[in-house]
Amino acid sequence: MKKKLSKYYIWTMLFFLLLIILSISGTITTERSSLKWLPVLSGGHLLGTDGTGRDMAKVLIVGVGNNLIVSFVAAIISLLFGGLLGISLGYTLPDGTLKSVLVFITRTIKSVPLLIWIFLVVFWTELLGIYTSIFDNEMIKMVWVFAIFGGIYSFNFALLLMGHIQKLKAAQFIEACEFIGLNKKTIIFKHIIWHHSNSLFLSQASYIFAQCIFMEMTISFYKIGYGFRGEFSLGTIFNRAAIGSDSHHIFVPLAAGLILTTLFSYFSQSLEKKYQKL
Amino acid sequence: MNGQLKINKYLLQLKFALKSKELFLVFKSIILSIFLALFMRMMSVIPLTFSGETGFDIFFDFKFYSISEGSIPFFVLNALLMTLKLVMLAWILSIVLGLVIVYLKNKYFKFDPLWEFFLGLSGIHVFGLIVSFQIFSSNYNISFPILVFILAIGSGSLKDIVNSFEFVYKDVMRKEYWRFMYSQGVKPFRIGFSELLVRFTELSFNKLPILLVGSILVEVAANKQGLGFHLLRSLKNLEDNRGDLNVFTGITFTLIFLVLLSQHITEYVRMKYDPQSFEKR
Repeated sequence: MKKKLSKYYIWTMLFFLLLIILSISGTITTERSSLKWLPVLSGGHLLGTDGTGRDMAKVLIVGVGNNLIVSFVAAIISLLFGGLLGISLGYTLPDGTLKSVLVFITRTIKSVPLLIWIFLVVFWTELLGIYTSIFDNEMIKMVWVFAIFGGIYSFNFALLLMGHIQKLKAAQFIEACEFIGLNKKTIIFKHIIWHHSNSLFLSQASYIFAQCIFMEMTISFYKIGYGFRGEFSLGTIFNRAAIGSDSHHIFVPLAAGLILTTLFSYFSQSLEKKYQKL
Repeated sequence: MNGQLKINKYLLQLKFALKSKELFLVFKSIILSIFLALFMRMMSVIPLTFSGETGFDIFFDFKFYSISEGSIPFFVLNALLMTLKLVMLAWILSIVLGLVIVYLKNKYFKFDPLWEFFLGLSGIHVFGLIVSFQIFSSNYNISFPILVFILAIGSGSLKDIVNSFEFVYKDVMRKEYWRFMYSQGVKPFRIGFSELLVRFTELSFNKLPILLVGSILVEVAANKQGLGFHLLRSLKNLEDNRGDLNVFTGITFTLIFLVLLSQHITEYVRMKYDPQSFEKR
């Protein structure tokens, strides 16, 4: 990875980690006040206030923090499960019926658009919520939904990783590793993942973050109504501003959503170019 | 005897027809879509059964219920026509806009920041574009041409198509035969026309599945009664009324079939017309 890019990536991730910590720890308090819908830079509020008089900057920190938590869960599940499946399909499993069946299942799941999957997952979760109380907690429900989303996306990632390993095989890189007597564990973790696929892993993680932020805003939108409702998130902040009397306030969550998705998409594309060059 | 011969003849024709690659792809898409639609139907019935709302037997109840808008096949067909109208128009528009911008970018390269700004705007997701348009214009009934325009440019769609077209155009221009003909005074576009046409066609077909998925959000946000709108409505209704299970199955089948078919068409066009595929053969 280019040094400059990796430096930006690490600093951005640290900043987002800080937002997650601030969101979880409860350090940021969002009290209501009588100063409703204050515009940006007024009444001592940097980004103004929302419809209940809460400071918009604080609301945004907590909301973005919640978005990042669910995106993080999706990214971890996707990279772990997809990585495992990708390495099995690309390297450890011998050609045969089992591999063919797994590739077929992976391709079939991938062929259904992610948006249809996410609609179905939230719908199933809503139905499950009828007979279990665990999903009464919105955060648990959304973490569950995005964990499944990560699981579904992992099939896409597995196919990408499989293709990447096949490229390494064609370049006789893996053959050379085996020839000099390296064991499979070293070849997989050190050479395939760490040295030759780190850009692919990071690129996909960034892509999942961008997708999750967008997905959260979509399913929380009031016309769909499957996402966060009470908790703060970019989607609910956007909804409240859109439904509220002063529509100018949608600029703040919209800009935050755009900046976040653009940033993650930029990282994803830059890192993708890196691994494609390998 | 004559009848038996006729049947055998038809069977042979069907067997031969299915051997053709084109029909086989359609057949494959149908089978896979049925399988996936049934899988999703089952996954929807299981939570309903567990919640005690209904028994598992509704999974096998495929009777075509009449709904307020008519019978289910006609209802799905109407929604399909709406979606196809939106997607096909957006597809054509995105190709035309892509070609125009590539031409303008090459002809007026001094205004590059302007083209980049326009392409940057297309990076906003279709959903964000529609909702922003609705809120800033205070117009919740967006006209059909604007919806088509948003679908054609949104989600980085235009940027992708311009980048791909530009890459292909520059790639063709680098080739030796092109340079030779150009030095002989032949117009640049005429020289690489056939190769450009093939590669542009291939790239254009790549856009279809993406536009189909984008149309789901466009329909939901703008209340257009296409497949995406009814998919969400049937899901919502399923929570209260199990009668929508067949509508849901019909829509998921149609949507998945369309996406799979467009993916297969893309692959077919690539295999059939890509010069690199000729080399492999």
